[in-house]
Amino acid sequence: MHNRLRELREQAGLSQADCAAALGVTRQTVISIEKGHFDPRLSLAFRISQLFEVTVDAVFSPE
Amino acid sequence: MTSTTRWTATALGSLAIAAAVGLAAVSVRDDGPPWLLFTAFAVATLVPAFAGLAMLTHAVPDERSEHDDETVEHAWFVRATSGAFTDLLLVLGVVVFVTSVLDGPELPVALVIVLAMVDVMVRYTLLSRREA
Repeated sequence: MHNRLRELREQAGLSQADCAAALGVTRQTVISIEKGHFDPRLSLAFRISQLFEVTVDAVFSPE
Repeated sequence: MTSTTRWTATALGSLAIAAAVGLAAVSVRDDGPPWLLFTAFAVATLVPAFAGLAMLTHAVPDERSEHDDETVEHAWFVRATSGAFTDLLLVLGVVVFVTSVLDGPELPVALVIVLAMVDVMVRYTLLSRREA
């Protein structure tokens, strides 16, 4: 699964730690999602989209 | 929780568990000198207790999060335990078959438990290094 988390996070001026705190997960989780090593659950995907005020498919897309 | 804290907690916790088991054995059993009962049961408990606590303390992420079950650390732990269970079934199946056919010595259950716990730790470490 391809994702734009890093791009959206950097546009919002958030660090990985800030982003993790806002999403209620660990920093390592944010790092792994950004690297494409970890596909988050749907509930986390929705929290990510809500955090950046975009739709889920604007963040995640099939490779 | 830092790595040093995890290992310190694991070591102290396993020592405490081993001592408690040794004392329990001394208070209940009367088939040997107290010092020997305490030493035998404490030493026999120490390694499984250390492996079990290490598995538990390393399954806890470095930082607290509101949604622990959605973290990558949780996913690694689930994959590690699942893989170790498969390994355990395979190893036990082969060992039981071979010892039955050859009428060999039985595999100690404690050894199997320790191997399974070590398997989980190795798998978790490999996953976290490969996918971090």
